[in-house]
Amino acid sequence: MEDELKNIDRFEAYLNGELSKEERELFNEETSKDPDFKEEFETYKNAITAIRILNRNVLRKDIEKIASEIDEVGERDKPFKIGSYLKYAAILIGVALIPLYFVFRNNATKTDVFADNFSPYQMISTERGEEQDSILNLAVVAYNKQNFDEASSFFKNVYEKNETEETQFYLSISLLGNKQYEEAIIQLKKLCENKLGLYYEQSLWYLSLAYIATEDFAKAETLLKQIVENNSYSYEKAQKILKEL
Amino acid sequence: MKIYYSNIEILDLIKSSDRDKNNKALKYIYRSYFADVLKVIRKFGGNKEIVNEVFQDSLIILYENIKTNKFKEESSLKTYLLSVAKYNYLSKLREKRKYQFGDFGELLPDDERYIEEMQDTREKNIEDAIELLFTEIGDQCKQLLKFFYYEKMPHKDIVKKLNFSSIQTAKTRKAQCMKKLIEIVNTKPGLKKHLMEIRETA
Repeated sequence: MEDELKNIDRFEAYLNGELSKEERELFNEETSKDPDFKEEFETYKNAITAIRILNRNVLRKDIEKIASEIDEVGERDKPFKIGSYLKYAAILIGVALIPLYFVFRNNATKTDVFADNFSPYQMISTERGEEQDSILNLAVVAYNKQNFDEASSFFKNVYEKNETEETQFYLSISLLGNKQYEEAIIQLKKLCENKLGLYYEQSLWYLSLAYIATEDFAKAETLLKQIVENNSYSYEKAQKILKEL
Repeated sequence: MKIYYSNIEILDLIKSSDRDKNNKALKYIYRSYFADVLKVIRKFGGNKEIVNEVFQDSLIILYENIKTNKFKEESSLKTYLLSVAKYNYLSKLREKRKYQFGDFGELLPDDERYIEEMQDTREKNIEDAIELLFTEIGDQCKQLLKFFYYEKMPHKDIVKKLNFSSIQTAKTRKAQCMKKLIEIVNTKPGLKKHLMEIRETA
C-alpha cells in the first residue's frame, strides 16, 4: 500500500516536471524495464484523463444551460452593447479629450505609428534543421536576435531554394525590421492573396504596417478596417491605429 | 446581471471556487463574445450549429486555462477565445478535408491537445461510464481529485476547502483517492481502452 501511494507521488512529480535529471532518467529506465510499473503509470494517466473528462462534462452541462437561457431571451446573437448612458459618457469624455488629441498629434508623425506598433512575429522554434549551422538556423538565430539585416538575407537565400509560406512570412518580417519596406510589401501582398494561408491574418497586419511606414495611409486604412471588421490578428492594435491616423 | 465586467473581474469570478460565480462569468462571456465567434466561423463557411459546438468547446478551454493559471491577465480574453475557436473549427474541417494549417499565435501549449481530446470524447460518448466511475469513489474523493487534478488548486487551498487538518493529510488522502480510482478503472477494461485511445489520439 505504502509503495503504491509512493508511486502515485512519483508519477505526479514526473508529469509535473518536478523530478531531477537523475530521478527522471531512473523513472524512464524503470518504465522501459518494468512492465508492471509502466502499466501502473499508464493507468494513472488514464485516471487523470477520466477526472478531466468528468469535470469537463459537468462544465459543459452548465454551459449548455447558460446557452439555452440566453437563447430564450434572444440575447446571444447580438453583440453585447454597453448601456446608452455609458455611450453618452464615452462621447462626453471623447469631446473633452479632443484638444489634448491635437496637442499630441502635432508632436508625433504618422510614421511613428509604425515604430510604435512593429514587433517581430514570434518565432516558434529556434532549431529547424538537423544541421545547427544550416542557413535556415542562421536565419532563425539572426531573427531571434532581431538582427534583421542578416535575417533577411539568410531567409531570402532559404526562400529561393524552398518557397514555403513560413519562410516567406519570416522573410517579410525581417525585411520590415530592416526597413526594406517596398520589398516587404511585395512578399506580404503575395501572402495576403491566399485567404486560407497559414499566415494570412498576420500578413494583413504587417502589410498595413508596411503601408504606414511608406506613408501610403489610404491603403493602410483599408487594411486596418478589414482587420478590425473581421476581428483578425492584432485587431485591437488596428483599432487604436485607426483612431490615430 | 452586471452590465460590464473587466477582464480581471471575469478572471476573478472564474478562479473562484463558487460555482455560481463561475457561471456568472461564463454567461457574461457567452453574451459578449458569441456573436464575434459566429462572425469569424461564418467567414470560414461554418453554420450556426457548428458554431454552438465550437464556441462551447472553446469556452471550456478558456475556463480551464483560467482556472489553472495558464491564461495570463495581460492577454485579451476576446482575442484568445477567438483564436481558440478558429483553431477548433479548422481542426474539425481538417478531419474532413485534411485541412492544412499551422500556427495560431494566441494558443497556449496544451490547447491543441485538449481540443482534439474534446472532439474525441464527444464522439465516443463515454460520459456516462465515467460518471458511474466517480459515484464509486465517493463525494469527498471526487471533490479532492477535481480540485487537485482538474483545477490545479494548491494543497493549502484544498486543506481549507475540504477541512483537512494539514497539507500532509490532504496529500495522503489524495493519493488514497487516486489509488481507489485506479483500482476501479482497472476493473473496467472497456473504459480503460477508451481512455487509452483518447490519450493516444489527443
